[in-house]
Amino acid sequence: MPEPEADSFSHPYLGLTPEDRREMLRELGISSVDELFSDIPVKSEFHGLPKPASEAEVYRELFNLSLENSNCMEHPCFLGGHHIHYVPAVVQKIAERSEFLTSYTPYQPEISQGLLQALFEYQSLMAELTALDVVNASHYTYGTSLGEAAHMAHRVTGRGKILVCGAVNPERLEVLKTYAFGRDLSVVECGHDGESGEANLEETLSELDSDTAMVYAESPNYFGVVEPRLGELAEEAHRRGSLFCQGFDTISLAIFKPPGEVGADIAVGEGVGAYPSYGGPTLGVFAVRREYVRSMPGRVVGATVDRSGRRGFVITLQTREQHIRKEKATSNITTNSAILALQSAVYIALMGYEGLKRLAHTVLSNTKYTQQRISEVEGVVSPRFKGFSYQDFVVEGNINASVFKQSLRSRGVLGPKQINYRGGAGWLVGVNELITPEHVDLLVECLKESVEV
Amino acid sequence: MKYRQAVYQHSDKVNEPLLVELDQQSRLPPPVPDGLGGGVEVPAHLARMRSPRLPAISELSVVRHFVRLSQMSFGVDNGSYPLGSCTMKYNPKIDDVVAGLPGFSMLHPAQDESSVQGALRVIWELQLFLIELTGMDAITLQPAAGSQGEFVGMLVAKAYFKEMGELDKRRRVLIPETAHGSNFASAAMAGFEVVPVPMRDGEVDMPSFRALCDDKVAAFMATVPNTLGLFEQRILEISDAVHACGGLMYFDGANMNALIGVVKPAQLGFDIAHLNLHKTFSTPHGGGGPGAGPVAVKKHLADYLPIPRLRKTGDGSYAWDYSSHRSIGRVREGFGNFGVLLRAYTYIRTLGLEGLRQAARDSVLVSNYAAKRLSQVYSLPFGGKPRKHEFVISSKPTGKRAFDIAKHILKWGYAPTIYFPQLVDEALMVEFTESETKREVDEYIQGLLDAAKSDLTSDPTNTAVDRLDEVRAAREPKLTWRDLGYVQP
Amino acid sequence: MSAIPEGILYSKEHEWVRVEHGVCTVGITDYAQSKLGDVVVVDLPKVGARLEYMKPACSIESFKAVSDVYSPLSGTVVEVNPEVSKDPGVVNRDPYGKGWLFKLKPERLEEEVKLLLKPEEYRRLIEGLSDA
Repeated sequence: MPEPEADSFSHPYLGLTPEDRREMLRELGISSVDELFSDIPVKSEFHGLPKPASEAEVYRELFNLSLENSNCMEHPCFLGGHHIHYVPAVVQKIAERSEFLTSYTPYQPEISQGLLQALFEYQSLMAELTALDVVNASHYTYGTSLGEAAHMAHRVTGRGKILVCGAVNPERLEVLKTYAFGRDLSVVECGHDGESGEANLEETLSELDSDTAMVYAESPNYFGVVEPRLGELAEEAHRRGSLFCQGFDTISLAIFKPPGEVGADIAVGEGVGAYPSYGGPTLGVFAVRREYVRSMPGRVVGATVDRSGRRGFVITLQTREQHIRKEKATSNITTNSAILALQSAVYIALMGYEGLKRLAHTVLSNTKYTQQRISEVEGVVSPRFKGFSYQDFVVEGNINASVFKQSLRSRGVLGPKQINYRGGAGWLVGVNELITPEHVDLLVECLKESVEV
Repeated sequence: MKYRQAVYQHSDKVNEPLLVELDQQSRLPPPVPDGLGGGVEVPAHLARMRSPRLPAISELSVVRHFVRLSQMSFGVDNGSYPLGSCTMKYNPKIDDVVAGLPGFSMLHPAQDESSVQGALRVIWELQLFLIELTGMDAITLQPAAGSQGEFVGMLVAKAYFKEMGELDKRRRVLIPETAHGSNFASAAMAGFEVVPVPMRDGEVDMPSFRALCDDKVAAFMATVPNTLGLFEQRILEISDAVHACGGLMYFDGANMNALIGVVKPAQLGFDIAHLNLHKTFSTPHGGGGPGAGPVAVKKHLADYLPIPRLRKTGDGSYAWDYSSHRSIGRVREGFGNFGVLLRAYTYIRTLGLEGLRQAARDSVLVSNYAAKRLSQVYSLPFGGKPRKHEFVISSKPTGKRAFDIAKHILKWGYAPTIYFPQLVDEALMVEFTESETKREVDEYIQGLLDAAKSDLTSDPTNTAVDRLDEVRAAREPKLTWRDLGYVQP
Repeated sequence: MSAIPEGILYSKEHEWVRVEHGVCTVGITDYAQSKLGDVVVVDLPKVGARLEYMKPACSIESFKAVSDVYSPLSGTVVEVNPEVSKDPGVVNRDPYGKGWLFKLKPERLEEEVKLLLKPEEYRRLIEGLSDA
C-alpha cells in the first residue's frame, strides 16, 4: 500500500500531528482522509472566510473593536427596561473555573456532584426569594420563560387564551406572542390606569373567562410601578380556573411581596450576577407551585442519597424532558443557562438577604432622587405615573426628541429611551446603585436643553 | 489512567455542606453604595411578609465553597469527554478573554446603535461567515440554543405555509427514528404532528420514507450526519422527494463538526439549517448552557426570520431594522447570546476556514480510527460504512451492559453517552473531536477495551458519591433545601 | 426469567388481564416492569373513562423512561388501584397481585378475548425478544 497522505495543517487547537494522522490512516488501511468523505455527493467551495490568524493578532483587532463601543460602566446609563447591577469579582472568578465552565450537562452524577449541588443551591435560593416551591435549573431568558409559561398553562388547563394585564415589557410581550403562535394560543392585552400606571383590573376581569389559560402581570411593571393588586388578580384567575403568572425583578424581591405571597402559580424573571453583554447570554428564572412540577419545563436537580446514605444530587424528573418524552415533553429545552444559574447562586450567597435588601433600598432611593431632580425641570412631568416606583419610571413633557438624543450623545450619557403607551408617549428612565449625583446632573442638563416650553 | 476526584467530606453523610448549612446568621451584609435620596419606606401592602431563608456567609467561605464544588466536577479542561453528538472540543481561552472585555461585556442592549458599532460589526461578520458555511442566504443569531433554533425553524415553516394557505393540511413533520428528542419536541411546540421515519441499515428507509411524502408534509428534519455517525448517502434523493411534495428540508446542525468547511447544507437540499455554536464552534458548555443556535435559511424563507435584523446603512454603519410584516416576531429579548456569538467569532477568526476544515477532517479520522480499534471487541453496527465524527458501538458481544461499562469508566474519566440511539442495543455513542491527541485517544480506547474484559462488579469509589438512588429522587422529589427541612423559623 | 402466571391472558404490549364475574383487572407483566425499571409514577385513568382495545389507557414512568399502558379490552373503568399512587414500587414487586392498575367493565369481551394471548403464547413472544 502506498504511504498514506496525511494532512499537514497544524494548529494549537488540533490534537493530531501529521505523523499521528499517518498512523491512523495506516491502521484504517486507507491512503487519505478523503476516502472517509467519499459518501458525500457534493463538494462545496467556500469564499470570503478568514485565514487562520495568531491569537495576538485576533486579540489586538478585537480589543480595538471593543474600544469603539461605549460601555455602561464608563458612561452614565439611564436606560430603563433592562437592568444592570454591579457584578462582584468573586462571581466572575467562580464562573471561570474550568470544571464548571467547560463541563457538559451533569447527566453523569457521580462525577458532577459539585455542579449539581451548585444548581440545587441556585434552585433553593430562587425558591426562597420567589416564595414558590420549585425552580428549574434555568431557562434562556425572562421572555422565553414567559413564552414557555404560556405553553405550560395551556397544557395544564387545556385552554387557549393568555391574558396580559397592565404595562408589560414590549420585547417580552413580543416573545410571548411568538411562542403563542407555536401552540395557536391567543394573547389579549389589557391596559393600565392612566394616572397610576397600575394594571387596570376591571378591564382584565372583563376579559377573564373560561377560555383563559393564564393571566400574566409584571411587578414592577414596564413603567416601574409596583402592582398593588396582584393578590386580587390571582384570586380572580383561580376562581375561573386559570393560572396566574407573575413577572418579577429578582433584587426587588428582597423588599416587595414575592410571587408566592401574591398567589402566583408560575413566576418568571431574570437572573443576577451576570454582565449585560449586549443582552445575552442571560438567565430566565422559572418557578412554580409544587402541584405543577410535573408540567414544568426545563431540567431540575433533586437531592437524594447514595448507597451508603451519603447525600448526593441528580437531575431528576427527567421523564418530563425531550430526551425521554420527545413530542410529549414539557419543552424542547436542552441547553439552558446553567453557568449563569451558578453565577446567580454565587451572587446571592455573597449578598445574603440583608445585602439584597440594602441594594434594593439603594435602588429605591436612587429612583426617588432621580425622579425628584427631573421634576425640577420646568415642563417635565416626573414621574408620569403616580403608582409606587422602583428602578424605572416614565417622564413626560414637551421634549424635542432629536435635541434630547443629541444632548445625551454629546455628554456621553446612555439613554433614556422614548416609549409609547396608551394615551401618550414619554421617556423610560432606569436607575441602579451605580448612578451618582453628577450623572443625574448631566441628565437634567440634557432635559433642560430639550424642553420646548 | 487513574483519576481521583477531590472530595471534601464534612461528615459521613455530607460532602460539601449546602450554603444554608454555612449560614453565619448574625453576619452583616457587604456594603453597597448609599442611596442618593435618603430612606424610602415601602408601603405595607406592597412589602414582603416573610423573610427568605438566604444564608449570610463571609466572602472567603463563599469562595471556598464554590471552589470545592468545582473540584467535584469535570470539564473538557480536565480530560477527554467523548459524549456523542455533543462535540466537547477545546474551549479556547482567548474567546473568554475577548468576551470579558468591558467594551463588549458592559454593553446595555437598549443602547443606541451609534454607541455599539464595534459589537454590531462582530454580529454582521459572524452572520456572513455562518451564511457562507451553510450555503444559505439569510440568518438569525437570536436563538439561545440548538433547540430554540429548531423551534424557530419550525415557526418559519409554519408562517411560510400559513401565508401560502396550506397550513391547514400541512401539519406533519417527518423525523428519522434515530433523531434527538429535541427535534420531536420542537416540532410539537410549533403545533406540528410528528411522524417518525424508520431506518434501515443505519440510514433512512427509502420506501417507508417515500410512502410518507405527501402534501400533508410540512418538513423533514434531519441531523446530518445522523446520530449513528453515518452520512445519509441518499440525502439528495430525500431532498428532492420532500420538495416534490411541497415540503421544506430542515437541517439539525448538532453534528456539523463533520461537515464544516467540507460541504454546505444548502447544497444537500436543505432550506433551513441551525448550527450549535457551543458544539461546532467551541463555545463552552457551562454545565448545561448557555449556547447559541443560529438559524440560516434560503432566500424564499428570509422574510420570516425573527426581527430585528441587522442592516448596513448608506454611510456604512450598522443598524437594527424592526420592519417586517412576515416575520415570526422576536424569539427572545435583545439580539442573541452576544457573549456566545463573540466567542464563536473569535474562534472562526483564529482557526480560519482552513482550520475549521481541518477540524472536520481530523474529527472524522479520529472517529473512524477509534471505531476500527474498538470493533475488535465491541460491535460496530453497519460496519461496512465509514463513520463521520462520531460512532456508536454496542457492548453486547462483551456480555457486559453499556451501563456497567460507563460506570467503570467513571473511575478514570468521563464516560461516553449510553443507550442512545435506541436503535442499537447496549449502545455507547462516542465522539472524540479534533482536540484530542493520539495518545489520549489511544488511552481512552485501551480503557474501553480493558473494561470489556474486566470484572465490573465493583462500583465507583473514587468519585464523590457511590451509586445514587435516582428512583427515590424521582418518587420523592426534594428540589430545594426547604424540601430538606431548612425552613425559616 | 419472567413470571407468566396461568389463569390470566396477555397482550402483545405486555399487559395482563384477569376476567372475573364480569369485571376485568388489568396490570403490566413482570417482563414489562423489569424493562421499565423502578416505577416512579403511574398516571391512572379516571373512573368512568371509556377505553378502547389496544389503545393507550394511561402511562407509567420509571425515572428514565415513560411507557404507554394499552387497554387489553374495550370497556369502562370502574376502579383504579389507590395503592399504586401511594407506593408505585408495588407494580415492580407484585405486578400480578397488589400491583394491579385498574379494573374495567368490558364491552366486547367474547370477541376481544380471542385476540389476547394465552400464557404459553406470551412466553413465546417474550422469548423472541432480547433477554427475557
